[in-house]
Amino acid sequence: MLMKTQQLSLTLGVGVQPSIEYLFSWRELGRVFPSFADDSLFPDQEVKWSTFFKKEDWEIRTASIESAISAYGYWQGIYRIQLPGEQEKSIEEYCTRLSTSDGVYYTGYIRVHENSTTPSFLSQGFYNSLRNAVERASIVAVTDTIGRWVYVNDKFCALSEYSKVECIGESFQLIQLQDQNPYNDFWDEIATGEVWRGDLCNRSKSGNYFWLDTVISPVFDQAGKIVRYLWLQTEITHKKEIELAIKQSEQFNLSVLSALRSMIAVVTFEGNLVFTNKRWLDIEETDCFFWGGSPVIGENIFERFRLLQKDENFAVQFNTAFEAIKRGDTNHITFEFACVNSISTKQWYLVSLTELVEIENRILLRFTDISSQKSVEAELESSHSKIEFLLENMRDAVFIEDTEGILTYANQTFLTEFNLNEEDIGRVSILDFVHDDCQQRLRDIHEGRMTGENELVELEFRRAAHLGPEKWYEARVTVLKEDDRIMGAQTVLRDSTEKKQLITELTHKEAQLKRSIRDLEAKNDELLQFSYIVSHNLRSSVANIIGLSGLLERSKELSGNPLTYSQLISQSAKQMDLVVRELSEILSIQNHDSSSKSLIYPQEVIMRIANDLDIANHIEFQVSHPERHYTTFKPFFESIFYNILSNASKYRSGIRPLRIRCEIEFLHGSFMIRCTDNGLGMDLKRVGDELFGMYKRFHHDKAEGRGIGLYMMKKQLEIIGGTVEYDSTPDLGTSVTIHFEDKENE
Amino acid sequence: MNKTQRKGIVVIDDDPVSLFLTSELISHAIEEIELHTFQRANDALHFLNKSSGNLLVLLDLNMQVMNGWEFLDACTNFGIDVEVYILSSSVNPGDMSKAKTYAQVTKFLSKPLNTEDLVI
Repeated sequence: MLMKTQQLSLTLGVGVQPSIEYLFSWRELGRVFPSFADDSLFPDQEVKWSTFFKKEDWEIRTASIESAISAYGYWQGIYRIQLPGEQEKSIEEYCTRLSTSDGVYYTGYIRVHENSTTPSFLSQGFYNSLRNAVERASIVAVTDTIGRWVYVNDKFCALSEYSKVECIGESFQLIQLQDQNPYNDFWDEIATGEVWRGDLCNRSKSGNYFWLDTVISPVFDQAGKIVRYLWLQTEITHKKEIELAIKQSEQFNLSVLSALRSMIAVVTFEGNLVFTNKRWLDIEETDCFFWGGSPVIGENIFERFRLLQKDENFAVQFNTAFEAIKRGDTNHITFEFACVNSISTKQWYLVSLTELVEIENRILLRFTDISSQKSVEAELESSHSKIEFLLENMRDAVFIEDTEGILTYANQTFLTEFNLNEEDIGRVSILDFVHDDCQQRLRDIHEGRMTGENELVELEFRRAAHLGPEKWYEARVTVLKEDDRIMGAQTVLRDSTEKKQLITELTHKEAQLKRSIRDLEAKNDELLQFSYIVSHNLRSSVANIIGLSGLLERSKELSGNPLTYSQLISQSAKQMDLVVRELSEILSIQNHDSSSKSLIYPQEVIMRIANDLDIANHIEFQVSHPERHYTTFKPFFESIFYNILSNASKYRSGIRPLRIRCEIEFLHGSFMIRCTDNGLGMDLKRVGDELFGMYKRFHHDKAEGRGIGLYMMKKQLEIIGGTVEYDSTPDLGTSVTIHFEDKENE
Repeated sequence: MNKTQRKGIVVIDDDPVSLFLTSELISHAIEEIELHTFQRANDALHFLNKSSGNLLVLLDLNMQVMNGWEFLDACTNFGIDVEVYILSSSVNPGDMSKAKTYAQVTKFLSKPLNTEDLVI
């Protein structure tokens, strides 16, 4: 249908919300519209396409194109236009949107069709295509001039949950939330024929809120009178919710700031107060920062600080910090300062200045009262110095070592004890003062401590030999930790030399005592046995005498021989006498004054005894030092060898001639005499412990033994200082070995 | 004690005087009973091992070579089942309690023997 087509030019609009506008030079325009070609004084000057439209036509066109592009990405339409002095022309317009990194561009073209049959502007065909496009993209409604719906599209119904039938004839206020929306603002505005744009909050039939980005355009009739309003809306509920959440969180931040115990203020770079938290409003008169009343928003902080500015310490620090932040040298500075308040109490404050990141030219001031913290610190410091005083003056030596075992502190007592100077701290280790014998133990403990095994150890060590005579210390080692990390150990030393000596002595005494108790117990047992044995032997004779005398009295009536009874009575009495004498002999051993010692030559004494026993020819000697003599209690010495030799004589073998070999060997501090015979011998396994027992006899058939000899010998040896060992084999002989102490020859 | 079930009495004592005294006392008190005396416990053991019948043993404790206890142990070892009275010159409390551990010991008598104590 197009008879002649002439493309005018490409035009463009730029930006997020550009008007879809075309720019032409008069020269370009003149090619299509000849009346403009010659008249133009400025052929290169540009003219806007909108210049040739009625304002309302232009706006409807623009709103329609925007909606279509939102929905389809492009718009194409044909309309007719009549410019002054020109024939009516048909215009085909095409427009699309380009999104680039620089922004959104609209691009398109306008073609002018001459002599066309294109319908007039807002012809039915154009209107339909436009409406389709808009309806699909947007929420569309049309109201009459007093706001009653005459048309709503499907999208509108879906969102509002009202059907078309329910809507038509109702006012738009059915879904509007009046308190949320600037109703009067926009109604007044659109009544003047202006296009209004804004966000409106609505409520659906079931009560759901939804937000609409709304453009309201008046629709004019031929006479230019407003007949309808066209509402083009887009839902933005989600965006609004996010905005609301952000706003709420900002309010929350403010309330947090308000609740803080610190005084918080926000000031501009000029020092004007724009925010204070509640704590500052509640400021008490006694507070350093009272400054003559609660702060007022808008006032200058430096004016308010003038009282404090007199305090040079504060003024210098605060002003320096403030300027530094203004200059951008830093964004955060803190300092502490002290001031005396109106009731003469010293208060400490931590002041911090922080540049606000979110808002330009704002500084957050924060004043925190740290007086109580400071007083704790002061107390700590004073207790530190007290502890130090104690450490320096205590009698115990104290030192601290690091993880490597190097001393990092030692008190005066320690320095004096180990002859050190202050300069030696940091150079020496405790191991330098520890005896070689104790080194390993201390190393082990150090190792265990560093691996966290032992937190507290008590030990004793001896000081190094080069430091002087033997000296001992008790050490109490405590691990020092900081944040669970082992930093070293602290040790307290106490001289334990005397204690150790006492303990050694005590242990010795205790052992002695135990030994004496054991001896006493043994003696006691022995005495008990002794008393049983003696009483038994005495009693048996007495029993015999009683029994026999009874028989003697009745001998006339009985058949027994009185002479036999009286002989037996006499025998029993003698027996009893013997026991009594032996008893006194045994007792006399214990009570002998064995201190009256005399000098003897052992070989000579033994030889004389052998002579007395008439066995001198059977004995042979082997003597290591014949010239050596021995000082002892002679009667016991004689008695011992009398027993040995007489036993050898009594229990000699019936088939071998008796041989006795007597060895005498002088040693250092003692000497040994061994007599070996070739007699009957004994089975020592059978005899066992009873060898030296009282009234024990082992050769019942041979000779008359009383079983008391070896018992006596043992007792006598104990008194003059000697020990005896027996070795014997039945039918081979017996060997008696005696060791005498000989202190004179030590 | 006139009616006797005992075949005889065995006296063991290494003190010859005491042994004589005990056997005199028994023979004066009880007629027609076998009386065996031993100065060495070992010999008594041999005798008992060979003999049979109801015998009573009067046993001294303090004897050389084999004492009363060793004799009692030997009886157990040889399986000699015979009633034993201990006849001792002195009463050692330890001996009394030790005697109770032997089932065959039924009495603990003190010298000289009182023949009334014999249950024949």
